[in-house]
Amino acid sequence: MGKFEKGPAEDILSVCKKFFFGGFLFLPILWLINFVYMYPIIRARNDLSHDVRKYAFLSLAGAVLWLLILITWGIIFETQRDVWGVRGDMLSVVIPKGR
Amino acid sequence: MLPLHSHRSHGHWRPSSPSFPSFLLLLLLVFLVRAPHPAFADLLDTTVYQALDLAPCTRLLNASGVIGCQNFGASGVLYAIDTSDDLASFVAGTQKDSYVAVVPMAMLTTSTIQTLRNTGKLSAIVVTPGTLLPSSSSPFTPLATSGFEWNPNGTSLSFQSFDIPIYAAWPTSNASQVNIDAINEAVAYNRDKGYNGYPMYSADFDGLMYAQRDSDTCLRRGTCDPVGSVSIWSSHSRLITPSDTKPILLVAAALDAASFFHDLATGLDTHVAGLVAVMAVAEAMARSPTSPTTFAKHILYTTFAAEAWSRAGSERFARDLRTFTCVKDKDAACPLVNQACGRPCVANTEFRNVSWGNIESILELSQILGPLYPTSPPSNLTFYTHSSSATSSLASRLAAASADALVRIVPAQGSNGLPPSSSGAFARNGVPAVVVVEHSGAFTNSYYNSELDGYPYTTFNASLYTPTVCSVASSTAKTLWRLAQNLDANATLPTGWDVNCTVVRDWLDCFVRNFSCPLVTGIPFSVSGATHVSHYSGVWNYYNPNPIAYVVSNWLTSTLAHTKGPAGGCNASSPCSANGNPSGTSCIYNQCVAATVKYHYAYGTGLEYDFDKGYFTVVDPAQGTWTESRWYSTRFRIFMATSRTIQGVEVAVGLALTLASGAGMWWTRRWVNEKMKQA
Repeated sequence: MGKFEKGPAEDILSVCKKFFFGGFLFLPILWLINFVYMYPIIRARNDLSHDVRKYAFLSLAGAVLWLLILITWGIIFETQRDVWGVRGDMLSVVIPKGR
Repeated sequence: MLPLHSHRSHGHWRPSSPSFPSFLLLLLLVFLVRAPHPAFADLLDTTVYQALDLAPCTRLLNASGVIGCQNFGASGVLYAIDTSDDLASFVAGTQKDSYVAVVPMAMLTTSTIQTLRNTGKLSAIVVTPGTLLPSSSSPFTPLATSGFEWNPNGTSLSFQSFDIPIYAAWPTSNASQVNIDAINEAVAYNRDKGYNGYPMYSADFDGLMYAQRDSDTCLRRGTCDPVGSVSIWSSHSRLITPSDTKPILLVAAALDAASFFHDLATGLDTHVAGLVAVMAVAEAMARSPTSPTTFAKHILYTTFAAEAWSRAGSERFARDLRTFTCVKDKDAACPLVNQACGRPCVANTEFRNVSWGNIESILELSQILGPLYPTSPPSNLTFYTHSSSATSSLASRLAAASADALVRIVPAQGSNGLPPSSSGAFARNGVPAVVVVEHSGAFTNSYYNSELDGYPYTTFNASLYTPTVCSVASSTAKTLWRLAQNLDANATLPTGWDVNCTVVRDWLDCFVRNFSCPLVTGIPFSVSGATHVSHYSGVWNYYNPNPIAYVVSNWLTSTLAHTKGPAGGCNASSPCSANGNPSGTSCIYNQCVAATVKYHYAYGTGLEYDFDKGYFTVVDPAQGTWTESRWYSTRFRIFMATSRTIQGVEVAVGLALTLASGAGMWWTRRWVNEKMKQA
């Protein structure tokens, strides 16, 4: 464990909170990082506030939700972009030739 | 192997740093694995592959979808499917590879393709003429109107969509026979091995069609272009004005034809015969002792382009005559240097002088070849006029003019109305129309809009068809000559005046067998060295008509010339602008000439250029909206392929070598560095 992981519980909660609320700025990767980073610490330490656990798992839930949304969008976009006509083209960065 | 320090001890060289030898080794490795020199790559390519010149099936689109072929990259072992037994054997076979079926034209049917596809082993199809031609083969639609099928042999093959490449090895010239021979040899080699003894001949195909979904989508994405070309309208009259009271007689023919493989379209009976007859009529009329310019009526020769594609040429011409409105005289978005109208963007607007109300009738020469492949010129044929009205004076005049001719032209019995033709666009809007054809009911040409309509091109004998086509042209010319002067149907004709059958024969030959004939090569900037050119319309653009439209318009300009310089008054190095030739003339057959011969844009009436968006859009899905996909390459190559197992071993050995090289490199480098440190 590094210096931070062994540091004061308040600091860990503070960082965990910042990552959690930062994720609401359409940054689900922050939620994912928050969970992946915090989970081993939560398991290793018993002195942490329950809020750390709460924020970490809420971050995980948010990240999974985002993943589901992105997968759903990906499927809808790939199958429907042609049907949407001009709008579909405008949403496309690269239009595959012939498909 | 001597250690490197022994070299140093002999004073050969001294490394500037301990890692220098390993740097040299790295350099050697980079040299060995870098891309080969282009010349070496070409050599490798030509050693491994043999590229053949085949005609591809390409993709077209309309407002509702796609037709033709798509190719996302295909390759496979060549496999001959000559008979239904071969097909059954292929279906039942347990081979695991991908195959390219080599089928004769007689086997190219929807059901064959479907059966082959269902095996899951087919990657592409190559079509050859085969030894036996099918008795009927029309990939066009049955052309049903009111339940009556005009083209009963129509299979609609050209209007289906296939997700595999289909190419044709076809003898368009004597030289192109090598392509067929190569395919036949390769497939015979595989067959002799029972399709089981690798290596075997395989083929791979390029030909990704960029366009997708439908015309509206591909036009917006810039992956297709409107199918079309230019129609041509021409007249002896130097000036036609809306205010002159002269009635107008339209004489029409189609300027192009279609086929499953566009490069092979010829349409000998589908369009060439009618086109040549109209050209011969114009030539005869130009020689009339009484100048046609003095006739009581204007004669307009109209040849319509892209007629196989929703009658694009005739529909657009008829519509423009009736409703064309120039919204803006000049428009920066119009790419033409000389804009007769900026929006819509057109190069000439003289057609506006052709007043719709002055058009007295339209006479169309359509399928007038007579029997295909006769052993000698036929005699005593009867052709038919189909009229838009029950009683047509034009039809009865044609019957009278042809009463004693080789080909009698009589009114068709029955009530099926006009056959599918260019005249439809005029008849629908009240212009009396008469279509001259060889059939009284359904088409007798069993190869309508097929590759076989005129095949084999290389041995085409125009003399077999000349008397028939010339006879129809002659009766038509005589009828028009009398009608245009308001003369009686039996009025005496000028002595010795008739259609020149040599013109008919020469043009038939040029269009089918030898496009490098003197009639074509005498026209500047025409195609050179070509034997057979495609009669497919191609894609429309502002500047370049297809080769057929180009030579026909130039020949008509020479034939109908109202202004002429001296014969031999110009050539390639001495243009008409020099040597005191008449102004506004063009050098054709080494003579400066000018005539009333105009192009008219021909693309589907359901398509229009959107000046705000900067591309064509579909404005009416119910009208013609045909577009052709763009593509980069339609290459076809054959090569020797090893078995899948050997290919797997090759990949494994390659990988092993790469890993061994890496390990060797790593070990050598470590060894060298150690030795350097010791030194």
